[in-house]
Amino acid sequence: MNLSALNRKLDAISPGIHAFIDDGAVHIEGQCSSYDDVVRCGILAARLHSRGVVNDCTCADVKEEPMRLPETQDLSLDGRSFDVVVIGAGVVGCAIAMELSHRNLSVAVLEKEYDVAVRASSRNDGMIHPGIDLHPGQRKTYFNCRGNRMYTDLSQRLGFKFIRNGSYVVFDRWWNLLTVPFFHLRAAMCHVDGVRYVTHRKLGRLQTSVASWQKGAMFLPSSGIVEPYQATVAFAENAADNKASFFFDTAVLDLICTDGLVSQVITNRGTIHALSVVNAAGVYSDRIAALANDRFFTIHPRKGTEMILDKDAGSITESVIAKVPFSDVKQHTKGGGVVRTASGNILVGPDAHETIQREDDSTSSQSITDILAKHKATVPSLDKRQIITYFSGTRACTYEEDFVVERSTKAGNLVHAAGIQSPGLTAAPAIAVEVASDIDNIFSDIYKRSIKVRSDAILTRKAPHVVSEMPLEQRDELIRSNPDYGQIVCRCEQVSRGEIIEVLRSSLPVYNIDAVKRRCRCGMGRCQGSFCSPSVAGIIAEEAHCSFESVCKGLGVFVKGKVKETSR
Amino acid sequence: MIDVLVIGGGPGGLAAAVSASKAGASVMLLDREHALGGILKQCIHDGFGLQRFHKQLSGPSYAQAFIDEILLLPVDIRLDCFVFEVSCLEDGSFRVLASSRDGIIDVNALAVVSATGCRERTARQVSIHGDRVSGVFNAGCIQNLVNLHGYMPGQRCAILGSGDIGLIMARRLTLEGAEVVGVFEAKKTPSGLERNIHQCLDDFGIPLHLGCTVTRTIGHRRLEAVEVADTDDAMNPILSTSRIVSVDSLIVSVGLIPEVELLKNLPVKMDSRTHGPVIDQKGMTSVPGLFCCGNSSLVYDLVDYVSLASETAGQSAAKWAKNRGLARKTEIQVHPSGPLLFISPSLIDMDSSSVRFFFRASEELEGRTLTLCQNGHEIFKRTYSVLRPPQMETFEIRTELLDPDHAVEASL
Repeated sequence: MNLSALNRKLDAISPGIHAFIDDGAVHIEGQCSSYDDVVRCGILAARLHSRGVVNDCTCADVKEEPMRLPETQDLSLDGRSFDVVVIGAGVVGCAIAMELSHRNLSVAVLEKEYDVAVRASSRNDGMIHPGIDLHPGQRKTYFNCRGNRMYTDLSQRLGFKFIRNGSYVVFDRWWNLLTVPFFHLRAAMCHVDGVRYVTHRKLGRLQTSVASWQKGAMFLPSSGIVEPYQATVAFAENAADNKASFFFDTAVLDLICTDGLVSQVITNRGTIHALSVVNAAGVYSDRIAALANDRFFTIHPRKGTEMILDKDAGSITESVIAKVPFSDVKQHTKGGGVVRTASGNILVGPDAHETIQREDDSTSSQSITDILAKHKATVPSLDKRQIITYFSGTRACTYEEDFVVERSTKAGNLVHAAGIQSPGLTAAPAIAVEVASDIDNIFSDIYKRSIKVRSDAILTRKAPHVVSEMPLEQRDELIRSNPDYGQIVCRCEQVSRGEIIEVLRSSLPVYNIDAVKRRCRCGMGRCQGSFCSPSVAGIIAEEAHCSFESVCKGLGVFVKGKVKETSR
Repeated sequence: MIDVLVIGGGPGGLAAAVSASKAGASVMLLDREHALGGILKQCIHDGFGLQRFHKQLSGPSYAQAFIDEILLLPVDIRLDCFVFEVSCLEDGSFRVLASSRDGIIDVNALAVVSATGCRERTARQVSIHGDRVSGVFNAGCIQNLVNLHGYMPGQRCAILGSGDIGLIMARRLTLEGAEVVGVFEAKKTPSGLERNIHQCLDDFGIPLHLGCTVTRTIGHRRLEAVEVADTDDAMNPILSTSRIVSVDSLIVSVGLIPEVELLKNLPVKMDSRTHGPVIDQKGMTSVPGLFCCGNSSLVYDLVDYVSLASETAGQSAAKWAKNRGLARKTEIQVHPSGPLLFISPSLIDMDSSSVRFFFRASEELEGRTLTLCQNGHEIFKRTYSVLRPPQMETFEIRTELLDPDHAVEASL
């Protein structure tokens, strides 16, 4: 397709939509009647295979909500300077910060939320993808393949749970079997190891919950699972152990460029001087790029919803059961699946819906119903009554449906790690290696400084205690050394007071009920924190030396004031 | 080796431990909290003990009566002690593992009484969607926060579900100066006891919206509003009726489920109606020597009945420990039919002079008769002028009336 053909097709969607090429990227402008049309225009423009699509089309039916900003307004960071400022503390930002923190560089991570992994990095299925469904030429395929192989070592060094439990892509039609050679070819092209076909009979033996009429499956042994927030916390804590500074509730409001370099980062907490900047801002990564006048891609958020079933349903599978993605070929999701999480729950989902709201994490009953219906076809025993919770997140997708991992052509000291959607969790460690080498080059090219890994860099992190998984003797010994490990606070997940205090005394403590939940699982069980949240809030208040009323759950305070004063 | 190990120091566990000890057994009681009394500690309203003590007591006073009694008995009480595993040993006794501040407690017992209470269904389990914000609580959590810690969930509250705890907290929050904008109940009839509707809502002018449910939470940092909608006969919201109610907290009181997590790795048969284990009139489960009582066996309406049934369980556990190895000789199944939410026990042990039954109707009924038949032969019959699901009914029959060769058909 060429530009004039594109313009004709755009005009057919909505009269007046106009495309032009600027700096290698295709820009589209005009007014659409609906947001769906805006997305259609963007998808169409991507077929031009330019450097990127900048979609400036507006729509009449919905309005984008402004970025949610932290309430904090101060000058506590004003005048600080760092070698590298990483914008965003999702899994990508934290992996990059970790990689950079091992070098002779001062690193700051700015995050507008109250913790790491608040948005997409904790709102995904935790799969370490094999990468078979990706296109061989894409950047995401390259990073996915490398990232996948890094997780075994990372999980051991950094003490987070990683299980290479393999996944089954189940065929539901006989004709699907014709694609087996295609799978093998793809596996070879994408460097996916160990892929094999499992017959219908063998599948029935291995995965008893899969519907008996399914026609066999491809088994992908390199597929694995982590708790995504725990992996992100592990990266961030290792970065903090290596003296990276994390600033939460800190939003980037502007970038000041001088002589083709980003020199200042303006935030709600003052102006920070930076020698280099990494854009890992997720759904806002196009906006950060725009602040540096480097517009060549647009993020169109794609929302996904997933549900978690009670651990009682954990026997459904030990691995991942996915449907063959042919039926969803138009939908940009891996089609989701039935996933056994690293903690032993069953997770079902996600789905994929385009949305204009970049931070829309609301859920709807329709999504739950649809997801359940879809996966019941493969796993009939899925039971709505076993759902204990559900959540949504937004993927940071570009119209090219690929990652943007490169040095900016406009600001010489800016590196983009943008447009990271699925399989971003898998790819993050590999992206970090790439970005760190870009930063090395920036310092040698621009500042004539040689960057190397410090000999005293801390490369390991002690795994936090999980008493419920410890052998009895060890657990007894630990309790005798610290009785707090014997006092169970969360009865569903059996988390002790000692484990909660441990996360609150880590190298990167976050005094928030939800932050504690992500780190040690208290409140993640079937009662969803009904019993333990008052106790957890009490422990947080003690550890943070703050009042009980100021303890937050997520963004909001947990309680609102005291009961009436009693007269004595 | 302990004779009877009781898990839980709430009303069920206390009554079971007291009666087992009085029956001569050596008893150990383990409780996960720092003080005895269980959930009664936070139930500072009155209305407890009318059946048992013939007066209205608060929750803590009701529990205290049992605590005073147990402290005089040679019961080994361990607090801050969380039982995480119960397993059967080859000789039919039990190994119980618990975590305490002094280390792992690893004990053997001839009989175990599980009295772990119940927990609430959560907002997620009734499919509340929308923004994920702070300010959505279970009623029990609010009861704990307000009554034990002295903190308020908010100043303008909506309550979803007309369960008793929700009604009681509606009153409590009003007394503490909060505005309760209403209690929303998806069903056409209330789930709580009638006396609580009068005493907690009517007396304080709190509106009860029957056939109306909360469909969505709205807010950014903390809850700002909820969307409510009327429900159709299948309890699904009618979207055209939805409206926004501004509140800063939502309190969910949508039903209780027996907490049976500890029984899950034992071959215990479950009762799909009570959501607890299948038990006989002595509280014994399908695992010989393992007893279950109180709200962890079935959800009671009155604590007085919990005490009553748990005393029987405690006595029976003591007797079991004394004559260990004596399995149930003859047992009869009870099969419910008709609009019965449940009838308990679902198993009758004939080695006993009487059976006390508890049942709840699944819908509001007038002038209905409960009959027990065996092989077409009527054994018991009682007509109730009115039956309501929130209210449990109880009656006792003598076992000599029963034919040990036939199942009992209970129909309403």
